[in-house]
Amino acid sequence: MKWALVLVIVAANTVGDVLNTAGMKRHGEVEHFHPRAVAHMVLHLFRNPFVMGGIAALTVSFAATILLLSIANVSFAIPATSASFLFEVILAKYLLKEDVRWKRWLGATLVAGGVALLSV
Amino acid sequence: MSNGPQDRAALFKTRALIVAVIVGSVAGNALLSRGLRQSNNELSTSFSHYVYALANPWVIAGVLLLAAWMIANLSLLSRADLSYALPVSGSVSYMLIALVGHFFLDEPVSLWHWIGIAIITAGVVLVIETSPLTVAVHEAPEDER
Repeated sequence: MKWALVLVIVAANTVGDVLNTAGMKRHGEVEHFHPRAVAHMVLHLFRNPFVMGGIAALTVSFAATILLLSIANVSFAIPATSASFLFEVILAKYLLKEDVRWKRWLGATLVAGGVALLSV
Repeated sequence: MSNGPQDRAALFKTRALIVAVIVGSVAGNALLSRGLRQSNNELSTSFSHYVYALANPWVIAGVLLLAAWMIANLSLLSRADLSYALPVSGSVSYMLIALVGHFFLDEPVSLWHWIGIAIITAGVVLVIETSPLTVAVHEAPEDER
């Protein structure tokens, strides 16, 4: 049960983050953070199918995380999902066309490995 | 990449958003964990159990913080690569969650945890040395200025 939830969390997290990134790059660079600007941004995002899909996926991941947290420690729940770091960098490079060079590969690999250690 | 005052202001905003994302996720998760721990520790088949768990004030505060986290995270992803933002904002959250779990929720931090924290820090240092944005982004809609 624990690991089935981990699988759902990793898949939903990856899909959610990639959709959100694609949607926000289409939305444009957010520059201003006063309340009116943020309110307008939120209204725009309701009509952004990428971001809506991304938030839906993250909601699934969030619900699965709540379930997991109710049967496991935080120190198991959070680090067990570390595989999503590498999946997301792979998709960022090949789907989102980000310029991922050795520093980011090595950095993301170290991060995923280090996070996995947190669950030992 | 040049280092004009505008570039520096833009980099400052990106970094401030990373800090906001980290704080939101750590505080939100800590509140949620505390609230859920108060209600029950077992998986329940009863729907009302989950409604009770979610009506807890700690859980409500946690969910509100995670909504603010979502807005900060989306703003960050509009101005930085996913492959830049995620290893930095995501992993520092993980480290802080381990530390918050240790200091506030009495969860043990083993030697392996400390080694993990050191390795994550090395990875974050590598990623943060790269340029945050490597794809083209246009300006946001006019009413957001």
